[in-house]
Amino acid sequence: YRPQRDTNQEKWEQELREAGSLDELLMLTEYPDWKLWRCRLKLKHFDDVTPPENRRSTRYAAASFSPEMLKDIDDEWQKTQCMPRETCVDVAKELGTNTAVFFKPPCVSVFRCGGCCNKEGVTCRNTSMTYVNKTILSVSLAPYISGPEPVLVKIANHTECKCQEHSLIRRHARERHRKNSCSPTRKPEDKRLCNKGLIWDWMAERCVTYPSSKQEPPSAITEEDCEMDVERCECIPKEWTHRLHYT
Amino acid sequence: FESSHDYYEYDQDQADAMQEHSEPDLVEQLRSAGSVDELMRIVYPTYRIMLKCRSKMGSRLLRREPSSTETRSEEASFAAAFINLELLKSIEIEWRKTLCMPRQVCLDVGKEFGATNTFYKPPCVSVYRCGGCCNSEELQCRNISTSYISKTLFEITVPVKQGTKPVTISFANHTSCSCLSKQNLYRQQHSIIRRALTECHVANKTCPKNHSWSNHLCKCVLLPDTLHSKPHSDFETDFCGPDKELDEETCQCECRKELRKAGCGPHHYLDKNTCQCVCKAQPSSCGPQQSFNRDTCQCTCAKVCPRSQPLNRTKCVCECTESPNKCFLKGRRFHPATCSCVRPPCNVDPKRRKCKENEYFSEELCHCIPTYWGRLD
Repeated sequence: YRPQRDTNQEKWEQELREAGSLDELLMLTEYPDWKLWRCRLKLKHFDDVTPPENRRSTRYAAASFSPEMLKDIDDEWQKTQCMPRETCVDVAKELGTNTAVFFKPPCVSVFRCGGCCNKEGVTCRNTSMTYVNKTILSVSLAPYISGPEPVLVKIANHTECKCQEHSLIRRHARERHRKNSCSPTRKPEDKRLCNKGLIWDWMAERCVTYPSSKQEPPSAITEEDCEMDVERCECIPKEWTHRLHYT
Repeated sequence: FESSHDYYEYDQDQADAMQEHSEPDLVEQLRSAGSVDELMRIVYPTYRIMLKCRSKMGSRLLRREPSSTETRSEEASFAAAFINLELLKSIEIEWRKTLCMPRQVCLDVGKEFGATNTFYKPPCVSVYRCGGCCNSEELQCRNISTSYISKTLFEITVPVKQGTKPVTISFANHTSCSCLSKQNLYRQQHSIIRRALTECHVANKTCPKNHSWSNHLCKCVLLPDTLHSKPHSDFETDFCGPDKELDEETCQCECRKELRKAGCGPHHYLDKNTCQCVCKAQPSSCGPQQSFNRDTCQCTCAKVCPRSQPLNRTKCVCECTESPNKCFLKGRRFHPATCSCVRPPCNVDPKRRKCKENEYFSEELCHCIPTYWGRLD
């Protein structure tokens, strides 16, 4: 059994590396109370289910972990998932403007994909995005004619993220980068063309009505990956194979 | 795993990160501005007064009277400024969100405590690290104080024999941040500067009038006083109009100080509504034969006199410049119809024109008179 066992060992270790949640990890390591842990999570009565006496049970002293510790690890894991996060983006770099123009504030706050992936060779990238309007002040130095002028800029806002391979993302990133670098530069004669109530749209290169609506951050959608079995107090995975495929 | 953020940890505290320049260039000031308030103070010196008055007007607008015409015009002019202030407010909110401050970031534990045969679950932890943007390219967001936080993770060593082992690891948690000068950093770290800070090749500091040399632009630029005039008027014109400015004490649009100090001259005063010089006296205060002069703000005589009887402005009557006495002194005769002295023709026999030794013939008197009388002509 040695050759086959070694192969199985490596495969199992690889699955351990790619585990994307505490539930998955506990199952792979054949944690004795992993079913109980799953039921506790689903019932959402974490404190009630655990009597104080059970904490000092000598039956599983060698192999069991504190439920509080497991909860802390699970919470930490959730916080570091690949998801849209509020990020500071440098406007000048995003628009690809030359050094003759600078913006105040120099950065804006938008949502970009961030967080960690559970295996190597993949990066957290956006699978969908929108553009949000940001109102900032621009100062033109070539030549400096007037003070800061309000302008409207559109910045990419990631709405969904996923851990993907590198090769696919590089092409996408290059394409987007080329698009950004083609932003035109305004002419000095265009200064202060906008009337009251209008604002200069940096991308459209014309005066538009000043929008007063505020952008709402994307809402996080939590998907349930299993169904609860009431009798056995067990959660049967709904699309277990599908989930393994994605992680 | 590819880290999306690059974080710096600076252990030593840095005091007096950046010294202020005594006479900074206007462009340098604009670049270094760290908030809307600071930026507006540079470009629009009266921005602070507007904000102060806005807080006062806010409560006052609630008690406005729609029937009053003055209130309507005042409200309309003030509402125009609200649009600008609303825009500035949204910019301010955006600016605050991107300031240099501790932010929640994901930290790869494996890279932090890396061993190739060891990995952790979860692979990352959430800690606070200094992040955000600095308002100048010469500065960098750094931590000035740090604490340490413990995290519990599963440590797995390959090949796996004992399964998962819980471990507690301490991570640095930044508690306060500041934008520090990159050049003053104790440990020199590589950083990409979008624009190289080079000195001017040609140190030409002889500039035309109203210009000064800019070491930043390497050329002569208009002086801030000249630059301020145009944006200054553009901003305030929207609110108070071309001839008025916002007064800090009354929170009303008052005539500009230059107009108030210059004065209007005698018999004039500055009208608060039109900011024009108007007369103190009213046209109705003039007499029946008088008319009001708007240039001198005085009543002038409006009577029309013939040429021979010029107008006496003091009495406002037509008077002759000549009189019988004046004509007599001239040796002539006063003619009332024409208000002039006339001389009748002298039809005297040539024989009688011969006078005695000490006499001569006077054409005016048409008679021989003594020589010692002197000639009246």
